[in-house]
Amino acid sequence: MSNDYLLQTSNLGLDYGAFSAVGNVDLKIKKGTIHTVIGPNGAGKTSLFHCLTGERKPTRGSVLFNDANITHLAAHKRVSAGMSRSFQVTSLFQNLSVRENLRIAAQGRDGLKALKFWISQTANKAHIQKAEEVLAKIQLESVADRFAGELSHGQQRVLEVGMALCGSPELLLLDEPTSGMGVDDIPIMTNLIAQLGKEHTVMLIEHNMRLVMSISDRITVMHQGNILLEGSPDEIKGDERVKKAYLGESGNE
Amino acid sequence: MNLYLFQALNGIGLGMIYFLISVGLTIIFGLLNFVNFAHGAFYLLGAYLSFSVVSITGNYWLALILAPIFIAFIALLCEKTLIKRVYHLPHTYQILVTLGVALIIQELCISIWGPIGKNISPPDSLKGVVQLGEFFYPQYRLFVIVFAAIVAFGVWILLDKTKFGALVRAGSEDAETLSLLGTHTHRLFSITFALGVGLAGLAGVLAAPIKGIHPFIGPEILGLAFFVVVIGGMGSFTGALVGGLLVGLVQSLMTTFWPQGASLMIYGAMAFVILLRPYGLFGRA
Amino acid sequence: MKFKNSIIGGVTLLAIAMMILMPILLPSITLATEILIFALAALACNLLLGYTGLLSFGQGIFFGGGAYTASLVMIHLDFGLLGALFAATVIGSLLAFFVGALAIRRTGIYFVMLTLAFSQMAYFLAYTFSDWTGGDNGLLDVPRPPLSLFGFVISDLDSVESFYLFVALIFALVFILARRIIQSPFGTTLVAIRENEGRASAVGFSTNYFKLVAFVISGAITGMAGALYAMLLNFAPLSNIELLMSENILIMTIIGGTSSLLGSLLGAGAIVLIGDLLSSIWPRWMMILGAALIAVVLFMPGGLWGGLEALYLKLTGKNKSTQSSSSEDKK
Repeated sequence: MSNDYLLQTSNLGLDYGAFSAVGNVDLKIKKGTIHTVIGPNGAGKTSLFHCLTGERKPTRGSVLFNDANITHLAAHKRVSAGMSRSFQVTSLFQNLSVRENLRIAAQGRDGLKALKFWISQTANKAHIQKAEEVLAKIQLESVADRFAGELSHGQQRVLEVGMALCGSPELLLLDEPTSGMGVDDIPIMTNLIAQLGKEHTVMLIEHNMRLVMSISDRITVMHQGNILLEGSPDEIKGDERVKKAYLGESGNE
Repeated sequence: MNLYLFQALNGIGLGMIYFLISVGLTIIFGLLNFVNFAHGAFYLLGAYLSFSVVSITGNYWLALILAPIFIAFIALLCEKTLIKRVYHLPHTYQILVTLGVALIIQELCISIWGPIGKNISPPDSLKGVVQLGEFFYPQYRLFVIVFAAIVAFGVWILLDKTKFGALVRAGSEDAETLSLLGTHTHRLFSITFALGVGLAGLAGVLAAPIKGIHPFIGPEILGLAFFVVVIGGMGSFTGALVGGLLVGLVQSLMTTFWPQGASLMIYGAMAFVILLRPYGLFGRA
Repeated sequence: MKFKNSIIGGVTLLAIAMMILMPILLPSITLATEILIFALAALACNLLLGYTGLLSFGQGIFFGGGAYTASLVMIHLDFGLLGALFAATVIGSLLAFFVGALAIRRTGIYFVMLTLAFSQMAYFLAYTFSDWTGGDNGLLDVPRPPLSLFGFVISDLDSVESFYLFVALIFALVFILARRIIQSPFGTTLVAIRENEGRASAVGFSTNYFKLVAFVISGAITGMAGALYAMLLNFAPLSNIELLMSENILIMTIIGGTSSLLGSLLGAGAIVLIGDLLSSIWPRWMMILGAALIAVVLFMPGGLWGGLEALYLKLTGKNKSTQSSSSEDKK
């Protein structure tokens, strides 16, 4: 039943000239699951991600979200469709407060409605409310009034996810959320994503295997632009093909 | 037929001058990622300096050698005091700072040399005409083409065949790695800036006997230089050459047919190119 | 502090105070009027530069365009005062729409170059169509119609005082409107775009739309300023649409300080005053402008307003970090 899948790609491919970053991918993300995409560098995860967020137009194939074809939908329009993303390289409003960062993100969901330059910003209580909610969820209330740029790296990564949450998405697309995080901070992210998984569908790219194995409902392994295999964490854990993909054909090192 | 040939040659001469102005601008942008809005002002200063040298010594050749060197020196001073503070800042700040510099230079020129333009004549040895086939062409204009071509060749050798050039090209790709590899990038930047601006000054000296020296010509030259750079692609030597020649030719030919429209066309074409093909013919993405 | 952040309080009061003091303190009231007119232009420029992060060399297009429009409709179509101002505002918006729609297709240096190219094109068009614009000579004998509503003449606006009052009223209205804009969802979105356009887009904003609307608003205000200038001088010169005009407006905006609307008033005041004081003594006074521009960018990025703010904080012993850092505090 296609209703089970919140996001589906069909024959999705992205070429850079003669090079196929993504070959032919049929990714299916079930509603209410935490679906992780892993794979060695160059496997095409990021390119696939770009196609899903709208940052790049795929060369072939299609992307369906809630059965609607969003393949060529502009990136900023995907938010109102119900998809929100976080960045691998932290991209916050460094000179605005944490609270304002979140409020703007919440405002973004309404998109063009923000063109109202004649009303006061505080008039839209819904956005402020949302920001407070997310602030509590990501547990950054204590630094709400600090500049985003003043936060520690770990806090910024968490804020990254918070920004995506403010769009009230059905689907969260997280790009290496633990990227650069210290070993003490990673459990915070792990718990956060696990919590989010209860209310949202989450698709993430990750390299941190412990996190991947502990919270994923389903894992897709990519290799050289295509899906190598898919399965539950247990199915993926011991699979020889995954090990080979990560260590290289020669099996060295 | 003769008229077209005449204008075409004029266009090539003009184009070579535009190349000299633009190549500095494009290299500075390529290596330093720096937008120099004072480039036109340095061209102007070069022209005025040559005027002074010629007035004092009566020797154009001396001006041709001294003025660009002096310009390069001033550029070096500028770089060490002001420019290097803005490398890391966004382009907006660079534009504003160099705009200030341009304003200062322009007003300085007017206060020293007066608000009315100046003229200098070509050196005596080049005052005549040269016979090309069945028509005559001013010696000086031919000299400009040849001399500029030699300088262009020299710059190309410098960029392509010397260690310095290799460093500049490497730095254009990745200045950080270059400094990690031990290169004194600051020194490289200073020299490159001085060289690029010095070439603009040289262009001013070369152009003076042809176009005269007008105190408010800075912005126009800047616009043309940017136009060439946009067409050719920011950071591209070949682009500056091809772009410069293209603009020079088109401008020369247009002056025969529709002089008033020339400027309009230049800026219209610039907007057109930026909108359709911002990386120009040879630029990198 | 609620009062400080309302559109009437805080900075607006300061602006109003300045508007009251200027005609008293300055050597001539005409000078004060000129300051307010350029403050309008600088304010409009600041909406683009300070709040949206767009460096536009094209403000002269709208300023000159507004001046020409108002002059032409008054001279040829017998438009009254308000009609002429309205026409100028509309044309300013249209020009800004056209320029903006094309220019924002590119970002960074290419955007700047596009505005520059359009500015030069506008200049040459104005120069060429001298039948309309008077070319090099400009449009002479631009009238200053009386201020009348529904047929009742409120004021002849003949005297320098009455015209100043009129311009001051307009400035106050625009200032309050601008504060509202800045403190609206639209304003905060502009700031977001300036701070991190990629992120703004990722959270759902169509950044091009917002930039374009900012452009149109800026063009409208600048066009109106141009019209007022033509009425002040009874003359619409070609220089209004020159690149130098765009540069001057930019310089006023930056020197005044881009973090606040009041900065535009300070910047315009400073430049117009210095120009007035120095231009007769030292024709090359623009050298100081150049130096001031460099100094502000390198050493005092907050401009005059930033400097005053810092001084105020120092004197009152307050610490910047104890103040709220949200954009709700944007002035």
